[in-house]
Amino acid sequence: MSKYCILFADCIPVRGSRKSVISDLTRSKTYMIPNSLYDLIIQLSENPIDKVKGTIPESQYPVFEQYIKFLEDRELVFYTSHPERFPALKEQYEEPFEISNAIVRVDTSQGEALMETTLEQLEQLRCKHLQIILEQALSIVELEAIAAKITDYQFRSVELDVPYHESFTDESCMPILKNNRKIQNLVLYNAKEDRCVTQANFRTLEGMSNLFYITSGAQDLNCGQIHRNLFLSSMEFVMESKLKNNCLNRKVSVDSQGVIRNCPSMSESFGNITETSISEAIEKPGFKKLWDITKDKVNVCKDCEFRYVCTDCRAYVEDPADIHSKPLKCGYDPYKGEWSDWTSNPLKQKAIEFYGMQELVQVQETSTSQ
Amino acid sequence: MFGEKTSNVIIIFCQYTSATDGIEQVLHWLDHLQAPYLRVNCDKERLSLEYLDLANDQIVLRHNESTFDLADVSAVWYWRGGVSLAVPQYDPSSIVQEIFSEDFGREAVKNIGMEQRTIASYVFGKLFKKPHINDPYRTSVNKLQVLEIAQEIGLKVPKTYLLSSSKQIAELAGESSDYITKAAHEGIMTTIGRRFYNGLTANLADIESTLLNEKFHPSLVQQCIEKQYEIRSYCFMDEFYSMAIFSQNDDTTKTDFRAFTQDCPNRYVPYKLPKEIEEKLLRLIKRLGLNCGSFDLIYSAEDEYQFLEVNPVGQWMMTSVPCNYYLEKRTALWLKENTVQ
Ligand code: SF4
Repeated sequence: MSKYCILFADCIPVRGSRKSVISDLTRSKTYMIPNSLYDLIIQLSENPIDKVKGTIPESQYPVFEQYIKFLEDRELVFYTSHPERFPALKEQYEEPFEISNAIVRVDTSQGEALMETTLEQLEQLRCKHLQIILEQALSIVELEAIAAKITDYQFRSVELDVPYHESFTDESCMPILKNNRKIQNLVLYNAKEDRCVTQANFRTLEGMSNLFYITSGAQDLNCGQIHRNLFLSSMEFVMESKLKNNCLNRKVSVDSQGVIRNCPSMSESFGNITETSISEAIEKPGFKKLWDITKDKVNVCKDCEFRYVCTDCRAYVEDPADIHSKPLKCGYDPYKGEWSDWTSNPLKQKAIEFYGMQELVQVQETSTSQ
Repeated sequence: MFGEKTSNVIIIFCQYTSATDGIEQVLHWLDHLQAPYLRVNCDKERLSLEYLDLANDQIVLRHNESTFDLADVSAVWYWRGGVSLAVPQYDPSSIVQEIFSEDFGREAVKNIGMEQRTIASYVFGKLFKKPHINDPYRTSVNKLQVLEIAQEIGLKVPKTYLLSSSKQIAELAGESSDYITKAAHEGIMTTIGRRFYNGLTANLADIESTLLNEKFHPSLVQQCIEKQYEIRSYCFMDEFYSMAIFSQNDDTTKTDFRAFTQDCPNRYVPYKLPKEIEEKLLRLIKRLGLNCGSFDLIYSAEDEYQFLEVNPVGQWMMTSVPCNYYLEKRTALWLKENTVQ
């Protein structure tokens, strides 16, 4: 019986203008591949491997073998005589919630009443992930008290961002993570170094707890970078990217004055929490207007191979007059397949494997329609 | 919640264990669909009977502070834990101490227990005549009987023996194929001190023959099927949600995929069983009187489907999540509408 060589369903190939990627959702890895390998994968999914090989000139066999070996070595493919028994993952992304992640800024010098109101409302909306940015410096004891208070709410995971102070050390901060298992990331911003300490022993519902020291300031925390990066190349992230705006969908932000927005970096306000509840605000016209802008609808991104693993941004775009404009903080040109600036690229570089491969020159077309 | 007359109540029996995350998801969906439900945490809660009128077919049950009419229950979902009616606790010495002996008191308590059980089996019998998922009275099946029925229906099953002596083992070892041994009922799963023990499947060849007594407790020994992949298939209201598990690339998981390694997690991918196999599995599940279940099969090196076992109150999250099946939403929709969507 003829054998097919097909990708596992949890390995998603995406073709860009010049290059392609395979995202391995189970192993959280993204492989960069030539477009000719992408095309080969599509042909292999529809034709037995022998038939595909038959269409390739003999001079190209070494490249073909190299491609197959690449796929086999990374366990991205398997062989079967019954490809019809292996359906693709259904493209579906749904949640029984209106809001799944929130970014809340808190000015503790004004008391905690505003924070409490906000968290109570978010809990009622069954928001899963919470990022809290504390704007004022505070002592370890005060931090402990706030952490304990947050832990009493029903969030699935919490990132707590606090201004760094000399008394904040691994020894003084780790107990906070240990005693408050909902806090997945404790981020000390304005620190003197960039460093991360992972505590494998205390797991939260979302994985291991981390203590981050970061040199950047409170303003840069708006994008929830650290938290969001954990989702890259995961099923949840890729499915959401295909169907929704992967940054703004089900997101809400409340600043230290109580102003409700879709995202903290956006100017448009939908009311103040002292007068308008979050559930009222999100139902106001326009609150969700960007939620359906998928990467496939964004200029340039729609031709980019990273479109389902790259966090979008609608707050800072190249042409503010165009709602479908490319994110500003991106140094990648998919039409050239080149990075202009690595430091500003929104992708998690470590998770991407580059592997020098020749292009496969296919003279004949494989007929797939029969 | 049900102070006034409430209709279309969904009753959910569950336990708080590590496996309840799926339950939470279903409950969130029910909230989202605005379907009222009542959750009985079997670890610490019981329903109790308030009133029963046989002629008018009326049964009123109580859950904590609220009461509800059995006629208003629209669906029931049983998910693990003991199901019984609350029994007032009597101290045998206090019941009748003034008139009779303490021995009589003990008899009386036993008798009240029997009364209670009669009432409970009637009430729960009625409750589980409603549209339901799983059945608390059919939470476990006899593995041996299941294999026999599967064979009758025409499913292939691995050669299975119960052996009770080292001589029988030695005879089997003379044959060419490999054998494994596993629990005939369910593998032990327990935490003692700080250690977690999980009874998995072991290869017979790995068991030191000198450790075997001449005679021992009959042990289930099964031919080890060389597999291309394993299949976990969850059957929900006659629909199959199947998943193939590829674990062959890594030696540590060859015998039992649950012993997986972290670095190279197994592949869990959506799978579609051939119609003919689905039909046979459906016949099996009907013969066992179940309406849901999780099947374990192997797709062998010989291109054959080998049936291993069925789990009546089957884990479905482990299939739903990697295959993106949204079974938690389907379950909630079914509880609300009693139809598969
Ligand atoms: S932002 Fe840049 S890297 Fe991301 S999808 Fe768009 S073009 Fe590609």
